[in-house]
Amino acid sequence: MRQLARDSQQYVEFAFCPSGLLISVMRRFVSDFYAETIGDPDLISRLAMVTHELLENAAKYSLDGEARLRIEWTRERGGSMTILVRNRASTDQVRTVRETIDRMRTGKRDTLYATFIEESVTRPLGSMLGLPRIWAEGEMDLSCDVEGDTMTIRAECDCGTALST
Amino acid sequence: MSMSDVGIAEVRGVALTITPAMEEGRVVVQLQGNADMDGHTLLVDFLQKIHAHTKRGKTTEVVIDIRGLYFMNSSCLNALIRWINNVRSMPLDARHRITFLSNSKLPWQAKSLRSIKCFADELIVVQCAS
Repeated sequence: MRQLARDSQQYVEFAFCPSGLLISVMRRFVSDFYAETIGDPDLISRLAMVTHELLENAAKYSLDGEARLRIEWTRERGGSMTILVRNRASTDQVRTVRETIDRMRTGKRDTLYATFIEESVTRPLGSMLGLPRIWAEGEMDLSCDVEGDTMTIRAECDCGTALST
Repeated sequence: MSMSDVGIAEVRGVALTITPAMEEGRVVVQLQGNADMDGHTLLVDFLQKIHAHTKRGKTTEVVIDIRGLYFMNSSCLNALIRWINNVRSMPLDARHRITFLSNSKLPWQAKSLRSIKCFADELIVVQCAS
């Protein structure tokens, strides 16, 4: 774990090979961390869910089983929190993530999430609900960067006055 | 008659425990712990058994008690939604009500249950039982 305090931004970063058990352990760990950093129980719960979903995504699709989790927060521009998960990914996975995120730009969270849920019941494999849930229930904006075969999914939200450190 | 009499017993996973009970036409299912990757298959299998049981008739309501469920991932959420979709697909007179008992101290529950209720509003009741 690395932690760096700067005037404008702070972050913590973890590199690991996530399994189901490790992801749950990590969710509880970062929940404690969020509780120290943020004063809003609803936001803490949302961030814990988002962290868990992103790590499960990496555990399912990482080409080498490894993932990096980075949590950034800043008080600038009213305060914001960003959760990034980076892993090696296939071109199919990158395309699926990009298409899902692109769809999110076409509608409102509640109505489009209802559509994602309707579609999830007829999928033969998987639910594809992780990213839509982060966006709708987690109320976080999503984006995706790709460098070579490494994909970084970024979830961010404004924190207002919730940041306490 | 108990749930084990109809072949549905308590299930214990690494982090998830599913406990069924039968009460005068109602089936009560208690989910406790964490429903994550390791609990997904358990939940899917269990809900298939519950659906097979309720399809035989005489069940008026299934209560899903999640007051002791600290987390549910999107795969397990989807397992619940697929089960609800199966109930929704039954003939009108064969459908049973689905009641969720939730915990207001776990904020994720209100958000996920709102999404689930939107999916099948006519079937689902949500009771926030603290």
